[in-house]
Amino acid sequence: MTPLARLLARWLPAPLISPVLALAYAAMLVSVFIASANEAAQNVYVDVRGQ
Amino acid sequence: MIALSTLIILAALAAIPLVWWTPRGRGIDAVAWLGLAVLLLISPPSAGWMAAATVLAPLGMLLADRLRRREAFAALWTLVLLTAFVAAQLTPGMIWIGGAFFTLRQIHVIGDWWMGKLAPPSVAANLRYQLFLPALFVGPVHRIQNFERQCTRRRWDREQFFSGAERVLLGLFSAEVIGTAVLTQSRVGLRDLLKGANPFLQDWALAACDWIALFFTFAGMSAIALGLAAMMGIRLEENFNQPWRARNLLDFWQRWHISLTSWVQDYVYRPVMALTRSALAGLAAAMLAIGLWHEISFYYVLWSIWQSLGIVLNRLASPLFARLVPQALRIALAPLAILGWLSLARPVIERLLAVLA
Repeated sequence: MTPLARLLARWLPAPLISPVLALAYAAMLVSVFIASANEAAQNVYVDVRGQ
Repeated sequence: MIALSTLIILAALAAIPLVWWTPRGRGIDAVAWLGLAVLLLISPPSAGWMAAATVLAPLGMLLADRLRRREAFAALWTLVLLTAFVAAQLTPGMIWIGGAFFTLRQIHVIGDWWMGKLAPPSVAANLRYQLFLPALFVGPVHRIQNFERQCTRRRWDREQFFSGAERVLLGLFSAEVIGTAVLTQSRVGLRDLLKGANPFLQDWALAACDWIALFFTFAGMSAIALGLAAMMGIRLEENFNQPWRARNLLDFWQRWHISLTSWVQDYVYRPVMALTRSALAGLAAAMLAIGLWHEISFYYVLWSIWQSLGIVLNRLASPLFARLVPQALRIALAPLAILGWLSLARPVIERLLAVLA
């Protein structure tokens, strides 16, 4: 079980864990793809310089 | 996220099947070679320098041990590393990837060897440690002893693999969605809301917003690195421990970018403390090292003085606060006070630099 699945298991009945987990992953993936269209701000901790 | 860093993350993802399909014991070596190939493609100077330094350091250590010149080689090699680090930082326009983290890892290996805590690593061990793709450009500053132990014990673990994959996704969400998209929009909204307010207060509030965005972005990027490593069967050192639950500024620095703080503690704070017998000198040197590691500039020299001052003031005022403010209120207000001090640095230093200019 992953940490997120363990967390869901504390609140949801067993048959609902997998569908809710799949929905959460899908929602996160979609939002990451949408958000990645934005230009990223400079971050001193990302050690990629001079581009 | 920056395009080149996205490319490195994709390369690290592509390396995962390679790790498990390559014969056991060679998987992490394959990741290092892939890392070198990716570096060669996008930044030949970084690839050339890292490959040369990674190969030469263990050979130099062996030779120095044979000639009984350990101190001389450790000092010379550290000087070479720091010169390369400064030269790369001060060369505008050159694409330079992972150099800051690489310098810290190299100094850790040389330092531990010099202190007798580490035998000279083999060239292959140094290569897989220094060029481990997931940690190449965002850390953590992991230690070679733990890394080698992990490489030896590494085995397929389904739960570790999927927990790592989940951590990569959560890290991407934290960095891209919360740290970049949501907080960038919030920053725009905050700037509009504060139009007409005192410029100093505006800068202070925006700096606080940037610190929160930095947390989500950097913690997210660290989670991606740790998740990718976990998918390869390697548990790297954690980089964050709920920094916004810190009780004071010193506690905050021990919870934020932990691998850098512990590096600075081992290789700057303790040596300076041992030489000077002064905790204040150790603190100032450690903060200066952290500041200049971020960027070699006068801004970061002043930033390090600001952080040292904050810790000293915090230490001096603690007994007074303990008497005057109830504990529950102190705990509740500590994150706000810490964020206030951290973000106050930018408007103060920028105005100070403007006066000095």
